[in-house]
Amino acid sequence: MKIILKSLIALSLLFTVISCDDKDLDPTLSVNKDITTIKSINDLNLVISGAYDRMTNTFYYGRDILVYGDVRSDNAYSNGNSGRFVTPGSMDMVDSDGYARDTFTQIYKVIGSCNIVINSSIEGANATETAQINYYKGQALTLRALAHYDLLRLFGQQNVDGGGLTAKGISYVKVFQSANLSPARNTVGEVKEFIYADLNQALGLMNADLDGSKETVTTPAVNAVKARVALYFEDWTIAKDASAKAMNAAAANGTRIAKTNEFVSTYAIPTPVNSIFELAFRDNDNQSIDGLYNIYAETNYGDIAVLQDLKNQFIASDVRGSAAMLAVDSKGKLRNVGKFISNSSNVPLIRFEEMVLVNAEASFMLNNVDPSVLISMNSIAANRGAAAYAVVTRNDILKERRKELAFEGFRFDDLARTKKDMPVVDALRQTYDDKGQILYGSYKYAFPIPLVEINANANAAQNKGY
Amino acid sequence: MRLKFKWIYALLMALSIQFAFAQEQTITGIVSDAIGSIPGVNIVVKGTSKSTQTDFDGKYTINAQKGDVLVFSFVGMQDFAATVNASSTINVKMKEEGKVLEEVVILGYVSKGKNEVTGSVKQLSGESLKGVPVVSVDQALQGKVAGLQISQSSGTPGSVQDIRIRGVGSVSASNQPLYVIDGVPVINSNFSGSDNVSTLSPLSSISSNDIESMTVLKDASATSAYGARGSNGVIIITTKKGKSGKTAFNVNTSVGFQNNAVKGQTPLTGAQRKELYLDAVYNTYGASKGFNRAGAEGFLLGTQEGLDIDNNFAGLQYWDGKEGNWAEILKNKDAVLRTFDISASGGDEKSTFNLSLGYNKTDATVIGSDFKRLTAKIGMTRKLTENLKFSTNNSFSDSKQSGVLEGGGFFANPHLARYFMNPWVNPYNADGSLNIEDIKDYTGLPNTLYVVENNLIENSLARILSNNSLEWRISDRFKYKSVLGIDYNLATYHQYDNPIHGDGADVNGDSGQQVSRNLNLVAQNSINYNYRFKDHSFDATALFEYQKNTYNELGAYGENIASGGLTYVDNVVSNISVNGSYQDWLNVSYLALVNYNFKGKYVVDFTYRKEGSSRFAPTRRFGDFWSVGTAWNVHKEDFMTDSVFNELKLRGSVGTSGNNEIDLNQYQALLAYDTNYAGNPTIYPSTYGNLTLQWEKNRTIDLGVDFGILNNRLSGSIGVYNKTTFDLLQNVPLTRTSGFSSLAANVGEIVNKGIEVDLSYAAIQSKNFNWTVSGNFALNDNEVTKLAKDASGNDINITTGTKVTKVGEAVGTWNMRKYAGVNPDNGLPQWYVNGVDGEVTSNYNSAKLAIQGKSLPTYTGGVSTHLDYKGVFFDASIYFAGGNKVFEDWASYTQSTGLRPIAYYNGVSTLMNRWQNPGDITDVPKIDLSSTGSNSASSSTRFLYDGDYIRLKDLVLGYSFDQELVRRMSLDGLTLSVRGTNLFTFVKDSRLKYDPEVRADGFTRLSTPPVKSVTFAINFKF
Repeated sequence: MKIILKSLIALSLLFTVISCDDKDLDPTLSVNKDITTIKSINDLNLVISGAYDRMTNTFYYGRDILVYGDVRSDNAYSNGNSGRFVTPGSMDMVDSDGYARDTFTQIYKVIGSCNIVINSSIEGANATETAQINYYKGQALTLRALAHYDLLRLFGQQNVDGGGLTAKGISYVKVFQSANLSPARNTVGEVKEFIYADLNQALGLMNADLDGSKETVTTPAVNAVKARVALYFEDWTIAKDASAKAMNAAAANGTRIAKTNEFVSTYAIPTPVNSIFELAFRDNDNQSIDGLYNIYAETNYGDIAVLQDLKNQFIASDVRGSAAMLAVDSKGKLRNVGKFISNSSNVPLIRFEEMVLVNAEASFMLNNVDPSVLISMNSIAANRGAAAYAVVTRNDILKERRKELAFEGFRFDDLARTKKDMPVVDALRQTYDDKGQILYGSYKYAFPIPLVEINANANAAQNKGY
Repeated sequence: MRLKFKWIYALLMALSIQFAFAQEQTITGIVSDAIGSIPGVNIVVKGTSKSTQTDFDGKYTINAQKGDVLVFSFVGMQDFAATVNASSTINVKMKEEGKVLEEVVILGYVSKGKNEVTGSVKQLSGESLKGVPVVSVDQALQGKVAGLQISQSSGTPGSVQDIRIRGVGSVSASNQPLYVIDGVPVINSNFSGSDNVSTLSPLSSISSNDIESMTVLKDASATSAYGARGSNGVIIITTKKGKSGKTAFNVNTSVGFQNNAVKGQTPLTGAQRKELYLDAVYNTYGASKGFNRAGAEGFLLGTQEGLDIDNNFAGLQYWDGKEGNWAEILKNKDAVLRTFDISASGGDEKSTFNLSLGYNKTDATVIGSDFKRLTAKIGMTRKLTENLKFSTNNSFSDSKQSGVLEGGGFFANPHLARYFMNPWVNPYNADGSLNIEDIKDYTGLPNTLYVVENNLIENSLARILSNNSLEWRISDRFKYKSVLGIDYNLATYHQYDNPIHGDGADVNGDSGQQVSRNLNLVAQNSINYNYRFKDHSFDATALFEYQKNTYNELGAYGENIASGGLTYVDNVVSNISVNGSYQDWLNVSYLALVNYNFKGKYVVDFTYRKEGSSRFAPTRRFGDFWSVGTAWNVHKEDFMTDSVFNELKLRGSVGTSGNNEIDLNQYQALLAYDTNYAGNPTIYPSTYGNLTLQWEKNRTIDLGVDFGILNNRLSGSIGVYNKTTFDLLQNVPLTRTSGFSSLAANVGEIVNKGIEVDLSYAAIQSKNFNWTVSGNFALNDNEVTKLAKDASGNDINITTGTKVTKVGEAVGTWNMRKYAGVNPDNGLPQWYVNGVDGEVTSNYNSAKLAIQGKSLPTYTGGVSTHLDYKGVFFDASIYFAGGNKVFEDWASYTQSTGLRPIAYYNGVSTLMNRWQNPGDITDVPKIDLSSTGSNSASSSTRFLYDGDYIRLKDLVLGYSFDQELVRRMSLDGLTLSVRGTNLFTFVKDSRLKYDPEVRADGFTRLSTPPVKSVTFAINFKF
C-alpha cells in the first residue's frame, strides 16, 4: 500500500508541477540577444564593428570584390587551379552565378548593419556623448555610401548599351528591416545622389577630433570615398575638391605617399604611412584559406595569376615591378607576391596615393595644363623608382593608376569608366567569352542580378543579357 | 542434456504453506508443455485459498475434494482447468498462450488488437529485420512498407537515412518522420560535428538484433496522438523484452563483404584524356595555326608555341605515359563487415529480464572510412505488488565513425578525387613513397592516399537510452502509468589536417575538436479507463507529456601546428576559435484517446492533443490536433459467417497533426555576438524574426480496406489518402537587399494524394513446405497549392539553379533549360529557346528555364517471397521506385566540354562521344580550350535522367537444423544463412551511371554510394 500511496503522490505532483502555460515555454537564449537590446553608445560602436567585420568577409573585401577588379582586366587571369573565379575571369556568368549572388548578399548585409546605427534613436546624455553618437552615425553613413557604390559598379547598367545615369542602378536601402520587401532599383543617377548625400551628411556629423585608428572610417576617409565616387562619375570638380580635402586632412595626421624604400613594407604592416582606410585582419581573425593571400600565392588555391602585360608596364628600377612585388613561381606562373602577403595582412581600401592620382586626373580633366597634375604624377613616380614625367596625358594617369593600384580592385572600373573595350593582352590566358573580345557596352560589363533576388523581389529587374 | 535453468529459477521460489482438511483426497500429477515438464506452475483450487506449485520435475501434490476445479497457471501459458474426479492423478499439458491471441499492433502510447485499429499502420516483426546487414535499422524498412520511401544519404556506415512517408509535406521544416522507441519520442538529428563530413545517425546506435518490432504510422488517426511531430509519419521501434520461462540464449554472428552496388561513372583514363585534350587543341587552334586533327600533337609538343600553350593548360609534355589508375586505388574492395550479438532473456511470473551485447564493425567501400559500434542492453520487469508493475529498459552504445569529407565538393573527398584526379599523375614516387610534390604540377587536388592516411575525421557517439515505467492497476477499470524516458547523447568530433600536404598545407596544419551533449527527457503520466458492458467496450486514456531537450556544445579550432601528427587542438597557434553554446527546447502535451467498439464490429476512435512548443512565438505556441477514426469489421457480422472473408475491415479516418521541426529561436529578431573586428567584439543582426510563427499543420483523410480470404491465405489492404499540409513552415526567400536571405513564416499549402496497396499470399502451406509471396505498391502525387506572396501579389517561388517550388507543381520540381543536343554542323550545344520544344539556340543565356520533371519518386514498391522446405529457407525481396528524374551533380565539371576535364581536373568516359566532324550526331558537344565549353555543362536536361529502377534488395538462403539434431548438440536452435544485399540493380535510363537510389532531393552525389554485400551468418539458440 505504501508504494501505491507514494505513486499517487508522485502522480498528483507531476500533474500540478508541469501544468504549463505559454510563458513556461520560453526558450533559453545563450549566445544571442533580442534585437531590442541595442541601447547604449557602446552598442552602436559594436554594431559598426560588426559592419566592418562583414566587410572583411571573403565575398566582399576579404577577397572577392578586389579580385573582380583585376581578374576581369588586363592585370590578372584565373588559371582554374581550384576552380575559383572562372566565371568572373571569363566574364561569362549566368543568373545563378554564385559570385554575383554571394557578393550581392554580403554587401547588403553590411548596409543592414549600417542602417541600424544610422537610424538609431539612442541619444547622448551630454555633448560629448552626442558627438560620439554622431561620429558613429557618420562612419555608418560612409560605409553605407561605399557599399552602395560597390554594388553599383558591379551590378549597375551604366556601362551597358549606352547606360549612363538614367540606366538601372541598384536599390539604395536606408532602413533596417524595412517594410518594403520588394524594393525597386534606383537609377544610376539616383544612387549617385544618395551616395553624395550620405557622405555630405557624414562630413557634417563627424568631428575630426574623434578620429581613431585607420582600421575604421576617419574624417579623411569620408572625403576619399567621395573623391573616388566622383571620379567614377566624372564629377571632376567634386573629385578634385574631395581628394584635396582628403589629402589635407590625412596629411595632418602624418599620412603621406610611401617612399620607394618603404613601398614593399607598407603591405606587410598594419596602418602604414600611406593608409587612409584599411580593414583589419588578425592572426586569429582572418579568412584563412578563403582569403586574398591564398588566391594570389602559389598555394592549393592560387587561382589568380598575373598577366605578363602588367609586368611589362614597369621599368627595371620601379619597385612596383620588382621581384618583391611580382615574381615567377615554381610552375612558371607570374604572381603577385607583394600585396596580401599573408592571411593576416590588412587589406588597404583607400591609400594616400589613390587620392594623389584622383586629384591629378580630376585636375587634368578640368584643365589639361594644370601644373599640379605634373607635380602629382611625379610625386608618385619619384617615390617608386619610375621615370619622371615631363608631360602628362590622361593615358599616363590611367597607366599610373594601373601600376600603383594593381590587385587593389580598380583596373576593371578604370577601363569601364573610360569606356574602353576589355583589352586582350594574352589571348591564351585571358578566357573572355570563347576567345572573343568583349566590347564596351556588352552586357558582360555588369554582373547579373542574382536569381535568388529576382525570385524574392518582384521589383528587382534583371540586367540586360541574363 | 538440456540446460535446465528453470531449476535454478525454481530454487528461488518461495515455499507455500499447505493446509490439509478432512474429506479431501490427495491429487498428484505432472505438468508439462511441448518441450517437457514445467517447474513453478501455480495450482489453485478454484474458490478457495488452497494452492501449490510444481517442483523441479514439474510434479505437484494438492488436496482437493471431488468436484473441485484445479486451475493451473503459468506465465506465458494458457490457464488450464481440470475437475477433480475419482482419479488421484491429474497430468496436465499446458499450451503457450501467445499463438491464440489476436495480433497486437503497437501504436506507441497504446497497443490495440488488429481489429480495433482504425488508422493506416504497418507493423514489421523483428524477425523480418534481423540479419539485414545494415548499421542503421531504418534501412531495413526499404520495400517493406507501402508509401515509405527511403534512400541512403550516403553509404558510409552509420550515416543518416532520408525517409519520406507519403511524400514531401514540408518545404523548409523537416520531412523526416518521428522516431519513438519503447513509447518515448527520441531525437534523430545528425550528430556529426561538421556539415562537411559524413553524417552520423543516432539510430545507428541501436542494434537490429535488439528490436522486437517496428510499426510505421501513416494516417492522422494513428499519428495525431503524436500531434506535434506526427506530420511526417511516425516510426515506432519496440525493443525486445524479457520473456518468462527458462533463460534463452541467442547468439548471432556474421561476416560479410561489401562493394558499391552500382559502378558509377567511369573516369577518363590518361590516354582518353590525352585524346580529348588534343582534340580540344585542334578545335581551338587548328584553323588559325594551320594543322589538322592528326597534327595536333605535333603542334602542341613540337613547336615552341605549342609547348607554351600546353604549359598553360594541361601539361601533356610532362606526362610519362603511365596511367594513374586512381579509381582502383581509392576503392576499398570487398570491405569487411562483422557483427557479433549475444542476448539472454528469461524470467518467472514476477520478473523478467533481458540482456544483450553486440559488436559491429563495418568498413566503407572507399579508403579511409569505417564504423565500429558496441551496444549493451539490459532490461527488466518486476511485479512489485499484485497491481504494480515496474519495468526498465536501458541501452548503451558507443559508435565510432571514421568519416570522409563527403559533405561537399572537397578535393580531399576520395569520392570526388576518383573523378577529379588527373590520371596523368602517379600516386607513388619511383621509390614507392606517396607522391606529394610532383602532383602539384598536374592538379590542384592533393594526393588522396596521403591525405586519408595523415588526416583525421572522426565522429563518435555514446548514447544511453533509458526507459522506465511504472504501471499501477488501480482497479479492473483504471490503470495508471508513469514513464520516464532518458535519451542521452554524447558526441565528439575530431578533425585534423596535416601541415605537409592537402587542406592543411596552406595554414600549416589545422585541428578541431568538439564535444556536444544532448539530453532529452520525456515524462509521461497517463490514466487509462477500460469498461466492458455486454457488447460495449470502451477504452479511454488521458495523458500528459513533458519533453525537454538541452544541448551543450564546446568546441575549438585552430591552425598552424609545429609538427605533423599532433592532431589535438592543444598545439594550434593561429586563427584559434572556440565555440561554446547552449540550446534548449520544450514540448508539453495533453492527450486524450478514446476508443469505443460494439461487439468488435464497429470501432470508433477519437484523439485530441494539445501541444505547446517553445519554437514558436509567444501566444502561438499551443496547437490543437485531433482525429476521428472509424472501422467496421464486416467479417464479424452474422451475414458474413459463410463468406470467403476471414477478415474484412473498412476503415476511415480524418484528423490533423503538426510539424515544428525548424531551427530554434526563429521567431525572435536576434543579434549575434560571435565575431570580432580588430580584436574588438562586434554585434550583427542574425535572425530576421517573425512574431507570428506557429505550428505547421496537416489534415489527412484516409480510407482503407483490410481483408483476408481463404483462411487468410490471401490477405492485404488497400488505402487511399489525401494529406493537406497548411501553414507551411517555410523559409520564405527575402530580398537580399534586406541583409537576410530568408524569413521563417507560416505560408503555403501542399497536397499529397496517394494509393497504397499491400498484398500477401500464402501459396503453399504445409508441414514441410511453405511458400508466401507478398508485395506492396504506392503512388504519391505531390502538389504545391499555395505559396507566400510578395507585395504585388505574386507568388514567391523558391528557386535554385536547378529546381523550383511553385504552385501547381510538386515540391522541388526540376526547373532548368532543356538540352536539344549538339548542332551537327558546328558541334555546339543547343537548348530549346522556350524550354520545351521548337526553336533551338546555342546561347545558354537566351534559352528559357522550364519544368522538367519531379525530383521525388511518384511510385514505390516492393515484392518479396519466402520459401521453406523442412529446414531450408529462401527469401528474396526487390524494391522499386520511379516516376522521378535524377540530376547528375558535378557533371558541370566531369562532363564539361571546356577546360575542366582536360586541363584542370578529369572527366568521365561519356565525353569520348564528343562531336568531332560536321555531320556527327551525338549528345556531347565539341570539346575546346574554353573555360566553360559554351556553357555545355551548365545545368540543363543534358544531365537529368529518368530515376526509375528496380533493385534486388535481399536474397537469403539458410538452413535451420532439425530440432532433434540440435537438441543432441545441447542447443535449442541453430541456423546458418547467407544473404546477398543489393546484388542487382536495373536502371531504366542508361545515361544514369551513378546509383539511382539518391537522396530525397534527387541529386546524385560524390559520396559513398549504397553498397551491395554478401554476408554469412550463424544463429545459435540455447
